[in-house]
Amino acid sequence: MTGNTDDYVTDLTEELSLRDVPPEAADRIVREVSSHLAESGEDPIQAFGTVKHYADEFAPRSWTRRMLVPLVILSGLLGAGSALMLLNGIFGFINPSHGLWGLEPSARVVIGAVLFVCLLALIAMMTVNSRRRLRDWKI
Amino acid sequence: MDESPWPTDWVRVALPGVVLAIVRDEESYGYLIAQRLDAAGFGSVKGSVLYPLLTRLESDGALASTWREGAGGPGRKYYTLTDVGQNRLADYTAAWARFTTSTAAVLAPTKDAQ
Repeated sequence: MTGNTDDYVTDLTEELSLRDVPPEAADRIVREVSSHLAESGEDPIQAFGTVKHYADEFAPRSWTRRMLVPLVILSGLLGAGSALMLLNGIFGFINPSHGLWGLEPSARVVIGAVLFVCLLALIAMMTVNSRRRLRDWKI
Repeated sequence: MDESPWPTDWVRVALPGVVLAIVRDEESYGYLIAQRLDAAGFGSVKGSVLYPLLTRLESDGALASTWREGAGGPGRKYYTLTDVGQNRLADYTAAWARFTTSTAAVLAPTKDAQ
């Protein structure tokens, strides 16, 4: 497996950023890789391994990064679900004939609100986790 | 690590002390350290091994670094040994000597085996 130096450096910068490595620290890591490749003429993947493998050396993937796809799907479901239930509940109050799965309008609003709170909690947890990693990061 | 006459595990264990010693002898940047290691018989140490090690040593305070811009290039990060690094290297050298002496003593055939 071989790679282009510019692509490797760009991908490494993005990967480190996704792992909450502070920009100045990521810049130092990437510049040193660029310097080595410029001097040695080596293939980046032969010298440093894949971008993910090399990024692991400095910032192992957090659980939020490892579970990114399921978390994005979960966030989407929570967002869509809460919007559906809240709007449906409100329309149910306006027009009592507007039903959904036999649920009372108040029950739909409560379920929508609970789903929305879950979405906010998930976002808050990911944000706190990200900021903590950023704060604790050091070279 | 390619073309090393030594098992990879041995090189990995020896590397922190050897890198400190190279930097003690001469202010060095990553690629130069890799060349010095190769010339010393450690083989071609990959960047994926060397640079994280340099980062850890710097993070521990054993190395200090400064960037110098290159003419048209990305520049070089030069490493120097700190006082912490000097002490660590001294400890490492003494421990390594004890370790190799002990290992050699065990590996040497006993009189019964001869």
